[in-house]
Amino acid sequence: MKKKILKITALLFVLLFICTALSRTVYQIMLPTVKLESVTKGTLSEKTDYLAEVDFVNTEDVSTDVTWTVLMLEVKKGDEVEAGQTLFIIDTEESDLEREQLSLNVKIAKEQVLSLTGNAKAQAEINLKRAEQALSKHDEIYPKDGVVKAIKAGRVVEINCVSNESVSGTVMRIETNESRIGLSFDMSADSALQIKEGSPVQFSIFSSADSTVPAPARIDEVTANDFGGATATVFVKPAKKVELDSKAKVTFKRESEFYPTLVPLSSVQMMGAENIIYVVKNEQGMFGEKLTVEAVNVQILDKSNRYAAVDIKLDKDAKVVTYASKAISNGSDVRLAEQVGK
Amino acid sequence: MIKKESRVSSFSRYFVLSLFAVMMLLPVVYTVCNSFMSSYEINRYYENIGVENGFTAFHLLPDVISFDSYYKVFVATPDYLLKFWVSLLLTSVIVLGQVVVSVLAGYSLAKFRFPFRDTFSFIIIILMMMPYQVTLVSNYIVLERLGILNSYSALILPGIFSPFGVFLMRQVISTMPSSILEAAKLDGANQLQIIFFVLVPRCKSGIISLVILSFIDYWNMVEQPLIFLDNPSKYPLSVFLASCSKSNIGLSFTCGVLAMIPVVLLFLYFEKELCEGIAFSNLK
Repeated sequence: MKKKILKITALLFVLLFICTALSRTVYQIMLPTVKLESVTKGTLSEKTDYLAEVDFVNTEDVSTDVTWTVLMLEVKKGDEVEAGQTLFIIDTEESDLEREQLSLNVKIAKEQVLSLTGNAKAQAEINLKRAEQALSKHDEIYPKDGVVKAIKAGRVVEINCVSNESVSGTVMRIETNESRIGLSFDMSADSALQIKEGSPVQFSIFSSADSTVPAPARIDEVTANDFGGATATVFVKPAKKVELDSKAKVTFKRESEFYPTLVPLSSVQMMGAENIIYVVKNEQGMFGEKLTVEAVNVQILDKSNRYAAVDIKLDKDAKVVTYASKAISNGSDVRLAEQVGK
Repeated sequence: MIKKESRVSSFSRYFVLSLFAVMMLLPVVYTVCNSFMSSYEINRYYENIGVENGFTAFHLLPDVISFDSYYKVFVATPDYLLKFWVSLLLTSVIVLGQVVVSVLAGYSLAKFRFPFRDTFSFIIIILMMMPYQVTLVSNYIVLERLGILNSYSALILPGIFSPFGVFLMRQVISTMPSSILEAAKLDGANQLQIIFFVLVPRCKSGIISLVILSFIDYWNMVEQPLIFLDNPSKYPLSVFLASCSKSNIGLSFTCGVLAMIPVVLLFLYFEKELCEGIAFSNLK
């Protein structure tokens, strides 16, 4: 009996030993392979090219999103105008009533803020803010006393209205004395967000013979960033004369502020609202050192085509996973792609 | 009439014993049966485990026999088998060391006369009565001073010096007639020869009892690795079994079966000696 038990024990232990060796081999083969890249620090610099169309050349449009009724035109086509000069007068009867109502709303909201306490006061403050915003928006749309003035000095080149008629869109176009052109082009919403006034820009005009050399310029004003549609129209001040409707290649160069942690953009995984990076760690395993990954939640502060600035501080020699052959999660054991086959 | 009474008493005796046998065996049978469940079944029947006021089904037999968990434990990942080997290595070293120390200490306390012998015996009994947790902090401090924390020595060293082992061996050796030892001395045997050629063969059953009891004790250790080891990859199998959770319950059943193997084999091999040894040391 004892001999039998001894034999069974020996057999079992040999089997278990074989299983251990086998499972270790299988496990090593099945481990996800990863490619790593070091984290770095510094500024993000980006260079992006866009194909643009020259929409405006040295012009300033007087336009409206709502319908205006023009009462009297003060200028005619070809007139020279000064900055601040009256261009035309619009009917403000309806808008004055609307403004009156909005002003009354602001007054009521102010009184409520003074009289109420606690949560009700907090709500009243929100209402006041909303009322003030509505009033300020109204003032932006409808000029004071119905007098529409020229923002910049120049020459009236286009008038799209007559007296006592309603108008919307571009009402008047003034050729300004400044050298300024408008470019519109399609771009990603993220890139459009990064265009800021004063940023350097380079563009080359295709159809104009004298502007084949890239001309340096600076973004003067970002007038319409339709981020939903991701179409941006920017005004730039070119160094040379540019023809209307010509095509242009616009190159944006951007240099961000200094960031202590930059990770490759390919290492950031979007999981719902969360951004996760996998940082590789050397851990003491049963057979010595092994590579494991740690999932770290990060917030992206800024990004370029290649790198993302994140809100966490990592060791200077930390490495992040930029590619994994299989899905990995926090604590997964991995092996380096270079080690495959070794 | 007498025959009828004896039948009734025999039936009731068997009934009570069977009831106890079922109570004792049920967890083992349950573990073995459930280890053959598929992941799907495990998730289905134990989804509420660990959930407050959650209902966990009692499900003995698997709907479909699956070797899913066995594949994971024995082939897909080496972790569990490695933990098994770690447990086996640790337990074997501790038991071996404990046998050596206990036999020597038991022999000296049982057969030698020296000052404070009874006081030492009393202290050992007191230490034996204390739960392990009482000396845990002081052990930790000593191990830290020795610089062996987070290494297997931190588990082995305190394990070797077991008051229970010393007490058991003292009891076993004290029942042995001194005349045998004196005869060996007269034959010219030195102390080591007496221990190896006279004492150990005579106390075989007691030593085997000590081996089995301390093997079970250290095979199931949980607190010591958790406190003395920082690196979870060094934990033995017992710690994994103790940390059973919803995510690894299927593996826990299989690892439970794996953990049973050495203990069951050891018991089957030394069953007779264990019973003899316990009886011999008056611990029955």
